[in-house]
Amino acid sequence: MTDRSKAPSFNVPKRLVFPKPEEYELRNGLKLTAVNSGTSDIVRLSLVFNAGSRYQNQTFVASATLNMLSEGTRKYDAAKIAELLDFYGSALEVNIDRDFACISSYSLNKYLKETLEVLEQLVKYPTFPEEELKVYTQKHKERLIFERERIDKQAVELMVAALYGAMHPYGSFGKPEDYDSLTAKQLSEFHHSYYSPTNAFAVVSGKLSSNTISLVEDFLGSDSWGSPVIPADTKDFTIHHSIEKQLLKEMSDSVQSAIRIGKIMFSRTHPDYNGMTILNTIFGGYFGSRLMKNIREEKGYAYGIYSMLVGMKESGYFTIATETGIDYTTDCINEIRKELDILQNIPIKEEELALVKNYIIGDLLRSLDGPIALADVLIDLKQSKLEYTQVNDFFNEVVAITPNRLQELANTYLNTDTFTEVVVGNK
Amino acid sequence: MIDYKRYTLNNGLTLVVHRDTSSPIAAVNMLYKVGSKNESPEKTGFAHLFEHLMFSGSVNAPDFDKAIQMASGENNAFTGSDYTNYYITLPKENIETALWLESDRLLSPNITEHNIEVQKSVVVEEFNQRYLNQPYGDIWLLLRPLAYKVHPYSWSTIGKKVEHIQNATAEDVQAFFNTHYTPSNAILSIVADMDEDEMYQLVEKWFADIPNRKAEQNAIPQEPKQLEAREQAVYRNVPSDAIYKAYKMCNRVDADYYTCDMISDILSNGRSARMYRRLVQEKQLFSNISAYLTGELDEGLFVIAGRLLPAISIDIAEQAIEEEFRQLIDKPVTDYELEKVKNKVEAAQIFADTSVLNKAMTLAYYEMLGDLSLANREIELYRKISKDDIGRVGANIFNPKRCSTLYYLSNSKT
Repeated sequence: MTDRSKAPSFNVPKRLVFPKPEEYELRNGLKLTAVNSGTSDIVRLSLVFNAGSRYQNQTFVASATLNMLSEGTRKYDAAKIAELLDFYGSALEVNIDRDFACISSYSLNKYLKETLEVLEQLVKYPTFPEEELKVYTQKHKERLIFERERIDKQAVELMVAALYGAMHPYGSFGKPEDYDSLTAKQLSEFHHSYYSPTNAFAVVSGKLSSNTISLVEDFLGSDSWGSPVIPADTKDFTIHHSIEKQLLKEMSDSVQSAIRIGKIMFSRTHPDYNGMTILNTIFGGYFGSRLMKNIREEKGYAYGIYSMLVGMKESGYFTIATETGIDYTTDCINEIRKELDILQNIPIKEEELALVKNYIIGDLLRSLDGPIALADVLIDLKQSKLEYTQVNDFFNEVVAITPNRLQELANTYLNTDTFTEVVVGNK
Repeated sequence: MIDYKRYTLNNGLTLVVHRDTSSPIAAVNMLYKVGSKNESPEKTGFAHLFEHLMFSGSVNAPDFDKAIQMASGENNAFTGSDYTNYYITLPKENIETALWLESDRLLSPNITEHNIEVQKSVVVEEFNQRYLNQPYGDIWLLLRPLAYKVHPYSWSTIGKKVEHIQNATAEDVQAFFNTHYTPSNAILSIVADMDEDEMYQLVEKWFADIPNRKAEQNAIPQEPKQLEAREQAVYRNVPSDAIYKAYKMCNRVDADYYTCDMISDILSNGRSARMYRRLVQEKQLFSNISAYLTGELDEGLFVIAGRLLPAISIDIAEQAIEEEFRQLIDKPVTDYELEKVKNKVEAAQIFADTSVLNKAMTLAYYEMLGDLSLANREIELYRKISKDDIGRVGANIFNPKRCSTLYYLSNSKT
């Protein structure tokens, strides 16, 4: 009989294996990072432009520019682009945040050339046709109207606007009617200004062959396009923090309250970013976190509760997020405050810290597993101009961090009085 | 291509293993052949509530999550109508931790009054968050009972109503465990960079001494053939109208299943798909529309789900959907279009196989279907589908008398 009373022994990885990326500068100045990984015959190519919403002069211009790249180019109309990509089984993905706009293609190696030929059209020669823009604005307006019905979305907007000020490039949110005034000319100008090889970087990952780099160079790295000069950034990043520390938006027919509690923190490159990432994990960053244990597993107040550290280029914030039954709203907020106090007043026990360290290391290992995941890690680092070796620095910091250091961080950053509390629902 | 080996333990547990040399991560997947279809109509939501309770620890491992996290692992689970699936990923060196935990909770989970009370509350909040307090969240709570009158697919895995979960007792929960959580009702699959027989030895070590309990499952009441069009209209506080048309189709192991899936691809998979091109981009009737299969084991549903743009009448929208069916049935698809959707299926498969967890889930799933070789043969089956198959199966599915239509209408428009 197997002795079940004893847990089997286990090992925690002592180091991470990060396949060394190769760095290239292509003829037109586009910087390309390539990482060979995996056994499947696939390639992911991502282009990341400094073209997030902070650069736009009117709401939704940045996201519409990115989303409309595939709606028509000099050579192909929208239908043809869709046909070509679908026929090769290739997929496009676009992502945008406050700082960056990213377009990625996922393709089988055997169709990389055909996929790049389409991607080239999208990135260099989009035409932003009026008819497609009309459909786009209609659809997205509807989607936004729907999103704004959700209490969690409302709570996020209220909180972020309260933290930065509603006019701040990181604190503003568009309204559905803002879609009505979008013009093709605005998108075209935004594209010309911000989508250029020298205002971007690229990451290619997958099973790379000898000609992968030259293919990328042929289609995206040879001639120049877009404006050679990036417009001066004149946006005002002065923070206008709401004086009100507790905001309530009543929703009489809601059976739940969305709670968002947050404060301004720092950007991705801050020296305490790694330490706070570890502290955040303990607090509410994984399924076994203190918040999850307390609010879900002990009290049953909510289906889930999370905290996260959001790092942007010029700033960042920390937030706690949950949806709870309206009757639990006040108790839930009190428990969150209590957990923040505990982090400041009581050093974390070695046993819990060991667990969190092992968990984070496993998570790191998973985040480096396979070409698609690896590219995500590289993009995140490149956006902050960090080297890939930073992953190992983080690993070492995880191994070395002490209860004292974590308590120190909690006292520096997680003082309950410094948070803004938002409730959408009922108290 | 997934090279697998299959084993059966003496207690009836099925094991499927596959060696993947590309990843340092192992995936351990445990599938129990029990879902919401095994529930009694008066006590729905049980399979899912039980899934939550399976994380409450077990006789030798009081804290499941902690033990996984300590071994650098991560875990989760989901419940469907037909089966409940638990999965763990962790460094391959620590595979025994996963086997210890999975075997121990199959042997004897901690079903205490306190755990039941807390998880009932968590599940009620999940019900609120995902189904009741969410725009369009209750669509499936309405559509299932419209489409099924006898079969337990008539309720969602979350349950018919919150009260069913609130009324669950410790006896109910224990009885559910005894009936359904037995080695012979489970399929374990492992994908890791490890010798296959070594994986088998480890599974023997942790699972062989768990006695099999006889699973006494009631026969699932089968749905009689639907002979009349069904309709329901509801008004809700949502910004725009939505329409759901659910057609009865074949079961999961029917030869026509893959053709149904391919029809859904022709209609809505990708930006070049017919419904997206014509109904969203050209006619501008919908802000989004999709066609998909519920994919359940017994007779499932072929669903068209669309959200309308403002100022579009629901009749016009519905006629446009039906026009797409006519096109598909009356005019043969072109070779090009057929080739395109087949290429797409094949590429999607290759991308899915880059994940050890995906592969482990795939193996357990096909073992449950009763034909493990399908894990590698599906592409071939899709490749064989002809233009005639599309027309024939399309004509079969899109019969108004086998359709249940839900008109989900916006209050603000009236």
